[in-house]
Amino acid sequence: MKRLRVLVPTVLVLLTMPGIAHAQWSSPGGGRSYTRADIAPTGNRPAVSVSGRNVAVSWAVAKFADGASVSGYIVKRYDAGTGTPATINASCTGTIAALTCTEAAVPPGSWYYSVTPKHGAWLGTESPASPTATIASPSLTFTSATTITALPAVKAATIASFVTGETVTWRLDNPSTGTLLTGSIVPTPVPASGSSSASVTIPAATADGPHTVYAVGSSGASTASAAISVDTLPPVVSAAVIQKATGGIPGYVAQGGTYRVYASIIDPGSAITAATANVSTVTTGATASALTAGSWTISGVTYNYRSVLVTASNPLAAGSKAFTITATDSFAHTATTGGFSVIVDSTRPTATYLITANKAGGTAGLAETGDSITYVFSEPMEPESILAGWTGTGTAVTLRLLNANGGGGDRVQIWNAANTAQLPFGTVRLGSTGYTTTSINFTNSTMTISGSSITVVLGTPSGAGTTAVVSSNTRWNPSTTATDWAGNTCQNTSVNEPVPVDPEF
Amino acid sequence: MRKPRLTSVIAPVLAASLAVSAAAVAGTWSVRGVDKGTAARTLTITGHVNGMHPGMTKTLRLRIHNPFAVHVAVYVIRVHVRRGHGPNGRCAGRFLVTHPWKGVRRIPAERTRVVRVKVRLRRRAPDRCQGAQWPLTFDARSTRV
Repeated sequence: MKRLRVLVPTVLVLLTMPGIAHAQWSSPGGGRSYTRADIAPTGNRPAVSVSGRNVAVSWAVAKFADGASVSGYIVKRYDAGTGTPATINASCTGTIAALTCTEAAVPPGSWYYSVTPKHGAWLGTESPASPTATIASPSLTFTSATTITALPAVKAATIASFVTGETVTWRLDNPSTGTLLTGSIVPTPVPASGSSSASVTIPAATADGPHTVYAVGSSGASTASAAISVDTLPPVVSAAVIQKATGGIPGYVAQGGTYRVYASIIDPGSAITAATANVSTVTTGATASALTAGSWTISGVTYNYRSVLVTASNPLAAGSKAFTITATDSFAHTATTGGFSVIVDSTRPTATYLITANKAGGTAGLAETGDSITYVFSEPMEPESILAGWTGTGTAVTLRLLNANGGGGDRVQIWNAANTAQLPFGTVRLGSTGYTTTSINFTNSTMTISGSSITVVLGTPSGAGTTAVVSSNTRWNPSTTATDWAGNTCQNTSVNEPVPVDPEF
Repeated sequence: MRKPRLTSVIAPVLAASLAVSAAAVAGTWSVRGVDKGTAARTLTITGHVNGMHPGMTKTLRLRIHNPFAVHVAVYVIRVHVRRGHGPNGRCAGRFLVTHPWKGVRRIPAERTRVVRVKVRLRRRAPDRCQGAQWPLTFDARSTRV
């Protein structure tokens, strides 16, 4: 019975074991189950605060839907005008774990910022743009007068919108190669506000005139400039001349004639406030003839001051007369400059002789293209008095060969290029009537002046001439309209061609 | 007289033991799948979690329904994460980390119980995983009790 008590439970246990071993469920899950990720939040619109070249950017925390804060932020800066992204500078680069950063050395301009939440590799949506942060350009402002009348000069100034921590060097006229100036800023280096007081010395060797002082920041991100004007010297008179009222060749005047004084006066440092000419050697008592500003060109030289018309004394001895120019600038620097002179010539010119020439290979006695006629005076003549605007170089005129229709033979006249106005050469009679039977116009004839002679080379004839086979005594009766360089009119005294007489042309 | 008495004791015991064993073997019929046209004969596990973000660990509450007429005890649940999809593209399932649940959870017949599993999204989950949804499948092991 004891054995049975042991056997029965054992058999029971053994029989139930297979049932336990097979009572397992290996159950796949249903498709309805899932896990869903959140999305990174949108950044909050940042606020900006500008101090000098630094922009403090701050923003509110961005959170996931469950309230968890993102681990960092990406700060970006954009050009407010174009929306172009800019390279962000130190302190705001990379992932910012805090809710603020201060970007340093921000370039001048108008910018806006954004922040983008970043969590691990996740980037949220970029925030709306911040208000615009405007960074002023670096500036240099002198707080004392910018015109310097004595050197060396220490000038007070202020700088603004420089990069924090910069030191400043000073240069004249060029920010990289200009003369290094002595200067300093207080405080130094540039504080967070970007502004300092400054002092810079303009050295003694600085030339008169406008200059630019550069304040150059050590980081290379700040350069500012300001203009100064140095004026320690009086005006400079570089040229002066007297010209007769009728214009033309300067430097000559006749007694009793009218003239103007012209001067070229410069003052690099300031304005010229007064200019006068002392021409008392030409006009009695004219010790301070006022000069007024303008622009005139005489014989290729430009002058910027001239006098009103002045009348030369009469009588006035011939010869060279000296005169001076006095000029004063804005800072009362005055200088009187001499070394200028005018020649007084009161002698009237005369006709000396007239001569014609046959061109090489031409027909003697026949006026044809290339032949010439030369008027010789007692002294150089004023081209302006012959033809307005003429300076003496080759110019086109018309030579008229006129049939005699009377005594003295055929005639020669010089007209302008358009053949509408006769030039003041007076009358030339060739002494023979054999040169033409009609009026012939030699257009495109060329007139030149050389010394006391004026030569006209015949141009294209309007008709055929005839050949004079007789020797004729040509006679020239000059015009009194033509003048010499001093404005003295030519005497009306006839002259014959030099002997021996011969056919003209 | 002694022999009949022994037989009268052992025979019912053996019969009972065999019946229990048979019933245990019969409990394996619901191992897999659903017999179409009939009620599901498997443990049903459901559960989801939202709002995951890199580095975050959340608890996934799994609801296990026992459709059987007998009590069962679940002792292992494995969670399988499939490739997820989201507005930014695909996100591999390996970025979502789970560990098997192990223990003993008794579920009465036709009742539902909850077990909790930790789910963690790896910190290095790429940006394209934002908003992704990973399908989960479960593999549970249980025993009848």
